[in-house]
Amino acid sequence: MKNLKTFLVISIFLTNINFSFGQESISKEEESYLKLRELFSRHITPGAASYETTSPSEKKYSGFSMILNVKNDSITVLSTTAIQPWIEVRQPEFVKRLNQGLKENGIVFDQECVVVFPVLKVWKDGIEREDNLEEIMSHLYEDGLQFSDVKCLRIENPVFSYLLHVKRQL
Amino acid sequence: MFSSCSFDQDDPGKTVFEKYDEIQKVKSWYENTDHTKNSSKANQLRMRLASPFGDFEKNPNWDEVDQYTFDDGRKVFEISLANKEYIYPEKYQKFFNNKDAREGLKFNLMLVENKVTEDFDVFIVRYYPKDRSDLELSNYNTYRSLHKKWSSEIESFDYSNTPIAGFGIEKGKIINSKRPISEKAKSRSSNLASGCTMSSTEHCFGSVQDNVPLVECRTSYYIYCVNDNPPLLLGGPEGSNGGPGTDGPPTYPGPAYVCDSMDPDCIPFPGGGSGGELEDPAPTYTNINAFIDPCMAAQVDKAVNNDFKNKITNLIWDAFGESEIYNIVIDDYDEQNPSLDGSVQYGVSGDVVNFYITLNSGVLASASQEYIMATIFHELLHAYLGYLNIDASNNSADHENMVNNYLGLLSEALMEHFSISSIDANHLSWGGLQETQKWADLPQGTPTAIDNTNQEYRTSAKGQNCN
Repeated sequence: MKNLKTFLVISIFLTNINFSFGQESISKEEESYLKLRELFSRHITPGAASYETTSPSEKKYSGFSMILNVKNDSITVLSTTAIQPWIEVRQPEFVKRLNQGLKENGIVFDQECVVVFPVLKVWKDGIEREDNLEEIMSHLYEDGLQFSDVKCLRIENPVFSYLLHVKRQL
Repeated sequence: MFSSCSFDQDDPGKTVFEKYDEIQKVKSWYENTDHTKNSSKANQLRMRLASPFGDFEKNPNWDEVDQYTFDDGRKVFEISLANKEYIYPEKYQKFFNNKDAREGLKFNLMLVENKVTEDFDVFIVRYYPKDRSDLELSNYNTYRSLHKKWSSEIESFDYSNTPIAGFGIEKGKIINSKRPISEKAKSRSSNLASGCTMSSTEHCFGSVQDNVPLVECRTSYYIYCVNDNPPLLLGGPEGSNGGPGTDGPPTYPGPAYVCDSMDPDCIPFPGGGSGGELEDPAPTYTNINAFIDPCMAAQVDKAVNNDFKNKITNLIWDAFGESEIYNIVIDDYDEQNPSLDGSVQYGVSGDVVNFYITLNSGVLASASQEYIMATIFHELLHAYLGYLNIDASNNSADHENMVNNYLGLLSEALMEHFSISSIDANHLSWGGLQETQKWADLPQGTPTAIDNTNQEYRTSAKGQNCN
């Protein structure tokens, strides 16, 4: 955690910041963000397995943060930290599916907002791997994220996904 | 299923915000209305019937609201009640071994749109599970939509806690029904139709004071009718020939009463609107999205359709079919990796564990239906093994487990769906298990034969082409 604090240097010039750590009463805005998180978790999942089986990693964790802009019923990707090849390949399809999911679920954001989604992928496929969690923490926030002229910012809890299994035809 | 603010499936055009606002308005109406002044004719009539207990506290949990529409167009809001006081038939007290019966009883407040007064009529619906296996299933019931595996009894009451009707349910279907009468009227009801008898039920009122459950029971009288099919009983308001009309001899069962949405006291039979087909709720274990290739989606649909009797589908249903904690989400995606058929990941969101199955459309789009199905079963088994022991689950251990325990089941499942030889089914079941110990122990030539079979079905050289 010490390292996390070191890297979590976020320069912010804004009027409104929301941390989504903990959920108390659920407003309609929170309901929308919960749905967004659900959709994000779902659609960020595919692709990683392919990358991993093509370029097997000896490290247990991989991770990055995706910074989204949400407005009305659509999202755009502003940037991604620690870009990895599969994310680049995956991104257009990811954005398309996420936006379609927002529309299908009638999710609308009244206020435009920048949302930071840290993503942590943990390989849990029975292969012995190096514990590189500290290194990955630095990928999540790089040397600090800067946001200027942003009226609304949300930093989400990390989205974890665990790769269990792949079926291959050798 | 009750979930936090689960909204009307009949009205997908509304945004979450609009639906949320609607619930807030209903809540505000409920909290600012004196419900004891409900004085329609039929209600006055019922007030003369046996009312086992007076008013009791009604404490709606507005985080648990199901919104739907009766067939006659009236909107319904069904809200979970979390009371310290509760009412139930005495026989369920025995079932719960005199413990606090609340753990197995589900009580809901039901607000039904009244198009005349432009507000709501208030009902209480109680779901009593038959045994412990029905306890969790109760959470999937609404008055309109009963889980098809749920069995036991539903009773409806008005706001003043006067009984309206009761229904015996067997696997989501109505098998009997009852309507209350006063003690005075029971002595005059000799002209009962075939299949109907006089009956009485001990209703108990329970409460908890200083952690001690207190119980008081009283007798209610009913006309009880056995129904093979959607019931004839409920009847209607005065003059409808379906109900008592006056306090005179009841003429049960009357003609099937189709609810008139202008009659505020009429609610349809549970489970299917006005006596129609009982609703079979959509499976909750899988979420097949709009992106998935239609032919692949059809294979997914078959694999998880519990009309099929193979053991793998049953395992999946038992694990995920009624669980609010574990979900399976299936997508397809071109992984741009020709050696990969599919993968399983899981993610934890709050109290919910989602197993994400990704089918590699880059490969499977040109595969046979048999091969796609084998892949889906393979991935579902991984999800199932993860569900059984998520901490210990990993690729290699699961594959050993599959070879040792599930190979035969997977073959049988494939043969249930396709006219396929047992040898081919067995070979397809071996797909993805080439790194196991048993694979290494296979007789010489067998691994090659298995690989060849898989390759043929994978490229649609054999089997039913998917596209």
